[in-house]
Amino acid sequence: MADASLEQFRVLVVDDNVVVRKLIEVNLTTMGFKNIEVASNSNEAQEKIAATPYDIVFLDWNMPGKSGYQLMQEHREDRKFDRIAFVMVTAESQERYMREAIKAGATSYITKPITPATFADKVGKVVAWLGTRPPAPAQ
Amino acid sequence: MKDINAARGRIADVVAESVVETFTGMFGQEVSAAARKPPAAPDNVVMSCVKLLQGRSSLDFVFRFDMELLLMAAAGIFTPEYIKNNPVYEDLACEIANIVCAKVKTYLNDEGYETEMGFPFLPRADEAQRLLQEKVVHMHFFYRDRDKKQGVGVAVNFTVV
Repeated sequence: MADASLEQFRVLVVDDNVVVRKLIEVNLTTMGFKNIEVASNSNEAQEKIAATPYDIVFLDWNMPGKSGYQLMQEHREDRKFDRIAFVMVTAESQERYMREAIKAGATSYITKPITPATFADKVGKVVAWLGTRPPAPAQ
Repeated sequence: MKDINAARGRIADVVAESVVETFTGMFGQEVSAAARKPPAAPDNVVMSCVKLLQGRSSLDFVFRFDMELLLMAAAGIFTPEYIKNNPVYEDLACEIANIVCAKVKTYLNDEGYETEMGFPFLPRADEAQRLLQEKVVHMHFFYRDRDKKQGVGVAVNFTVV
């Protein structure tokens, strides 16, 4: 059942493949998220992240051009993006990639194929992390 | 450097597991591995390819999907209007190839190989033929279409060059 409390969160889904973007969007909507935007490459994502205070950003690790991993690293170097939960989405399931992603600042790591149950479980933990963030600075 | 040829049998097992897992878990479509080569391959096909590289060797994969199966998978995600106006079957073909080959890469690298994977791409027919010139492993997967008839939904061929 959809959780109404998730409507408050702003989410960005970044993937060069429209099927993955839409699949993540469908899973998020089923959970109760309402504010979902998409980007099909890192440049578009960068512009959107600069303009909107997203709570969660889903990033495809391997994209042509700048990878999702590089994009996350760049944003983790800037403290103003500390409140964003970055979730790496990838078909790479080697342990070392997961460790590397978490070390570089990923909040979570989802491996494909994406199943609704695993997705909901991982995103639930990300939402719990959002609750531990300090309050947003006054604008 | 380890010879990928030595792992061909296990690679086929990984492909079989991950094709079934991806269609079932991610796209809600039941497919099953065929025990032997069926008499007919899919007719209306969409192809995608992925190359895994290790040193001077390459492991070339060609996927041939029945368009009907891809459209059934797409129907669980997109509206009929969107499917009608956009070639989502191409993105589906690439994404499934990407997931399956990433599983193969993970298996090989966990076994001590050092493979790198390229991005999936849509080949021309002659390009697909060129990638599959010798010692090809053929794999087929059944599905049930909208009329509940069993057909070959996916054919996967791979070769080590």
